[in-house]
Amino acid sequence: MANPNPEIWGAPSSWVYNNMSYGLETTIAKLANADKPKCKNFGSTSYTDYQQTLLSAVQHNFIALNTPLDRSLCPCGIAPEVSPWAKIAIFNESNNLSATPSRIIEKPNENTNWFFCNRRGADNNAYYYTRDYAYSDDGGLRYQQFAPKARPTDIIYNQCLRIAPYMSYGLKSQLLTIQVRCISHSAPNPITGTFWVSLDDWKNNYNTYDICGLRFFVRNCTAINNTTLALTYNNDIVQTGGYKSGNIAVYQTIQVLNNGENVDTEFLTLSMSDKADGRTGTIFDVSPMIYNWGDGRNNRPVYPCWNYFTGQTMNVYKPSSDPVGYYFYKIPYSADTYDKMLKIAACFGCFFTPTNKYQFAYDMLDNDLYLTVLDENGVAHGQYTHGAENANNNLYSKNSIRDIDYDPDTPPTPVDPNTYSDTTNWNNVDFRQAFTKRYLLTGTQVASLASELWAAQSSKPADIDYNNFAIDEYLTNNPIDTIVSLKYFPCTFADTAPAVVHLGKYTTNIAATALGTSVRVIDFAPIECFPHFGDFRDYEPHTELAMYVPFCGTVKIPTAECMGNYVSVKLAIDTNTGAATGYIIVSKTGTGGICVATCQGMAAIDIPVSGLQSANLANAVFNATANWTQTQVNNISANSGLFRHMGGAMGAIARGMTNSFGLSDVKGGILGGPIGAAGGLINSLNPISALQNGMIIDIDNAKADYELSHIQVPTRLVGSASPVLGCVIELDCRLIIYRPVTDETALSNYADTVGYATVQGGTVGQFEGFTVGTIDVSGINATAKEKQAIAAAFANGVYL
Amino acid sequence: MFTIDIGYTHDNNLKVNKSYTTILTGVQIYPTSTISQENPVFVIDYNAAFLNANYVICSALGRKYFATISTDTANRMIITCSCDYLSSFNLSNCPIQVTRNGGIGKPTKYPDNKYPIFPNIKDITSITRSNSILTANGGTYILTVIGGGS
Repeated sequence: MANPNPEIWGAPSSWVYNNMSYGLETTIAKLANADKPKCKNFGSTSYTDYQQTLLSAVQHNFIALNTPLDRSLCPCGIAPEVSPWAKIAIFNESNNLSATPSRIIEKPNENTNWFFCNRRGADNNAYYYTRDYAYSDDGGLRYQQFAPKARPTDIIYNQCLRIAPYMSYGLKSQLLTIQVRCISHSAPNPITGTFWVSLDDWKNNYNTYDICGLRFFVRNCTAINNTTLALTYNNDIVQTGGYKSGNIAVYQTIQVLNNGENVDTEFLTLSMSDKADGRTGTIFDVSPMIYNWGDGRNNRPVYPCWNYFTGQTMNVYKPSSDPVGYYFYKIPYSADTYDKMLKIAACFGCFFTPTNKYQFAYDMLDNDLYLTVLDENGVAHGQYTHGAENANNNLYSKNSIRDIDYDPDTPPTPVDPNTYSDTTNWNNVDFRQAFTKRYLLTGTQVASLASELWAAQSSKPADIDYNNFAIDEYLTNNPIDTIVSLKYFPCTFADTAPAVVHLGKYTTNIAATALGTSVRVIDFAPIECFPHFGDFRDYEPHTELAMYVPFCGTVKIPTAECMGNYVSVKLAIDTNTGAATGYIIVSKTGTGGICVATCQGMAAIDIPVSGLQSANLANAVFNATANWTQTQVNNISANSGLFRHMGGAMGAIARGMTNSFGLSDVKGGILGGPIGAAGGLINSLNPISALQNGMIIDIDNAKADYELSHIQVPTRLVGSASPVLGCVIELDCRLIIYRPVTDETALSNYADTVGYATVQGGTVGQFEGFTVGTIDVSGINATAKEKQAIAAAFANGVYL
Repeated sequence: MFTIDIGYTHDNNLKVNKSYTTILTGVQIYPTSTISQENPVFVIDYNAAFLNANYVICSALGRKYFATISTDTANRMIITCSCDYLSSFNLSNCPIQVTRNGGIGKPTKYPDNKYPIFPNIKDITSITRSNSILTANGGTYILTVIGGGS
């Protein structure tokens, strides 16, 4: 959002610091806070301070109408999309209108930039007057009046003099409290049936009630950020120069009518209610926000109501006693309504709370303490922080809202919402295999592991069937099947916990070491990537960098990110799989740092472990025999005479093979009948076809015979074969630097004839020697052609 | 009628605010019909001292000129001038954005595409870091077996 009120804030050049002007620009104020407000639009040095009002200044021709006000009042803009106060006037119906202006008309569609409080005079006689006080951010109430309307000659009746902007107080010395006016949902008369509670009270205790009013009051606090004093409600304490009561007024752009005569200009003024001040405890409520007295009686203007709640369920009540004058809009409780109340409060640019709490135990991070979030232009849009979030709020560190650096001509750089970190967070994800046991073995222990397998095999008691024994002992029929993997790692492990190796339930005699965490991280010390040349040659494309990481290979790393910083490597090895991951880290100091590249590889060598699997062998024999049998059955239909001489042979082979492996003779029984019967069926084939068929069948039979007689004795291979079982490898990290080579012989006249590349601004007189650049010759008294020639000469190079 | 100062300079033509040596000031010129401001031609009486002159200052025209001397048969000298733009005006206060300079950087971190770097030659070097955990000999076997059992 651009500057919402440039016509009000004006150009910074108009913010002339003048200690003889009025408003906060008093001599005392200047001494107290020399660089503070620059309010130049109130009053004149020629008149006493009660005339230091905007209107009187205009009337005395010291300020022209439409003169922009500066931001010194309060740079907090209230966004109309959120706050009803952005557009709605709160009219002071008891204002003395005998003086001009006699009537004001609200100008819609304007942001309200400031809100004001009411100030009492010290005599407490309902008369108000101004004083000249020093300004201090956190020192309590120090303010000047900013009365826009005044009777220029009568201090007594100058009611507007009591108005002061809240933001002339320290941000941390006031607290906005939200209250709502509860009314029974069925109450016939809202005047007598209402009561005020805090917004949180409504939410927690009275949410069966509707609300028909909303009010904010400001508690003057001993500095919220005071570390030695509790935040206290200080509203009734007499401050030097008078009270700041809890009323709220908002700033409006209005049209001024002077005794019926249209001044015909827009005029900036205040509008507010003059209901009872906060000092007596009768806190002003901004009732026009809620109920509409818009009947036009007594010149009361018609106000819009609850704009912000448009679309929300509302109940309208017109009391019978005054069916014309009052329209009460009652709003039932909802979480959305509650949130909107908070947003409205957040538009005032200060601390606020939905509770009645006023002591926060020195804690600006109290969970009940809320703080407006302003955008980059100092405009509030209803966002807020609360509790611990306050610490991240831009306003948190400000003493005054004026401390926000905002120049309407030079909008600030947008606030980056991100939180940056220059350190990678390393989390050790340690997956420990719950279903396995893991041991660190020496080479000698690995050798003994083989004999332990035989020992395990032989440990079967004589009276127990082997298969039953093996299943019970190893969950399989072979002790080697208990081995999941055996890997060699070319590194040492610091684990020391002793552990005897178990193969299933079998306890070996190998006293190994239990493996702890699964992932091992190896750190390599940082390398300072020192700029060799000290110039552009240290960067790409001239200088290139690569990092060799053991097991992972070489990876190119960005020179621009590394040059002048420290580069280190963290190598993580997963002992489960042997996978190695290299992390290349860049840091400014050699500690911490951000991972800029990763690479993967394999750090472990898989050691093959093999063994005979009797179950698999039996299965293979059975399958081969069945295949042979099927082949013979299929060939019956081929009507080949060759069957006759093959039948007996196959049966013999089958019997022989099965018997040799100790299997039952079932296959012989199966084959005998069908094969013999098949031979009798073959009697009427074409001789050639029969010969061809016979050859094919011979091949099939030979193949089946071969498969049956050449069953491969199965072996169990634990682990997959590694690409290498040994290798030559560098185990150091290595930063590889590729540097350019300069032709030194060509440099002798380089400075004087070519010049070094640079980018510098200035004036011609600030440079010397051979210079190429873009010159602005608009200020010299030369012809266009001459200027063009000069610019061309500088573009090609001149000598200064 | 105005006069000119005649001298010489040894500075590079591209030098701003050249230094020069005056041979003679207030040299009277013969009037001609038109004198160009950028490329004037002046006619003066012959003076052998001017034979090596190459620089003219003409206050009336508010310019300094590179000069070429020639003589005619009437014992006069003809000075053909071209404006020295770089020295005729006070440029010292003119804003400038310098992209190359002989005295700044030597060189700087701004890329210089004219710098004499061999395009196809690279020096290669390296820096190592080791960790004693990694060892070629004396490594460790890790045996993984099924769990449970005893």
